[in-house]
Amino acid sequence: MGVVAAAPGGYGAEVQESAGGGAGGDRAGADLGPADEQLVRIETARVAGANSEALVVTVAGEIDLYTVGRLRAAVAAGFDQLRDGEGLVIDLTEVTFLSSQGLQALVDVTLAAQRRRQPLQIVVDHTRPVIRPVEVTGLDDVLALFNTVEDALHAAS
Amino acid sequence: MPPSGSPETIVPPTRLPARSETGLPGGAVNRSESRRLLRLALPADPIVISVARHQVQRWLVGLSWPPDQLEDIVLAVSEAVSNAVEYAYLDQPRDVVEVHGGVEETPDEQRRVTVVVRDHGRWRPAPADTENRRRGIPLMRACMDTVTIGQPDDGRAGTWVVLRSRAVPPPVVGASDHRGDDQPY
Repeated sequence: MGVVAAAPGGYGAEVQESAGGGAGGDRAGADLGPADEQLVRIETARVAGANSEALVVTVAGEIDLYTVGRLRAAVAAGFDQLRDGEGLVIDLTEVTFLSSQGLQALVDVTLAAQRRRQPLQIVVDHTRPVIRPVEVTGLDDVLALFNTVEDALHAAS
Repeated sequence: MPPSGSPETIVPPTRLPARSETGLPGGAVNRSESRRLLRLALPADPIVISVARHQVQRWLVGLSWPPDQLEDIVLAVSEAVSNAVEYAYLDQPRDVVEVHGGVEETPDEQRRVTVVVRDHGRWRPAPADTENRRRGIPLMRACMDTVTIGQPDDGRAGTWVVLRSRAVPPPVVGASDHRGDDQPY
């Protein structure tokens, strides 16, 4: 498996800039905590598996009320970039916190993918920060969860 | 004055960490005692939810709280703060969200924390939206021993959420007494 083609023009960075700033122009929070681009990083890349390609949205950091818009924007942009036969994979392996807003975003994009008849897989390893809220709310029965990107690609092929 | 909630949702003052427990205010509070307390007052802005999480985490690490239970408490507090940030000041100027925590010993020599997340906005007897009703509140309840949503007992406006953790064993003597001060945030 390898990255065969990143989306043109630094796609992930573009999403970050356009969707950032949940707190608007209020920079009073700047000295209270990290800015949103430090809280979450999202990159999108085209990845080839043995028999399939997928657009992988890799998320690292904290997903909460402040940053969830970035996740939604990145996934929406990913849908728009899908080629025929490609699936979308959301890799949450490096996510350190997932709030109820993040859970709802995962449910919404899963339902959107079903409506579009496009495969969407979510990668979470067994570490607690992501799987704990997913299991507590019973969403492990709703979301298509895989342990690794390789597993997700294999399932999509 | 907002309407009163049903009796079971009103938190009796005795359920809160009393001032005698938390050691405030006044007088000299030594370091080991002050480490047992959490006192945050944050502007109700979405960016502070992360700040609250990291502060609660640092506090609990300083108490040598077991990691799994620590993460559950952080998750529950985050949901409560998030709810206050999103809904408390919808129709009025943003004020603060307060996060106060204290530790108590249980009769069987275990310990638990109680964290009160309080705003001064409008009283919200039930979650204001279905998303939070479906996910946020169940998350809090799953992560804590008890979750009580009520009106502050001092007559001021607002909502408080009292999060009472599960009991955990006492810390190992001598273990990581200073870890809470070394966190990078």
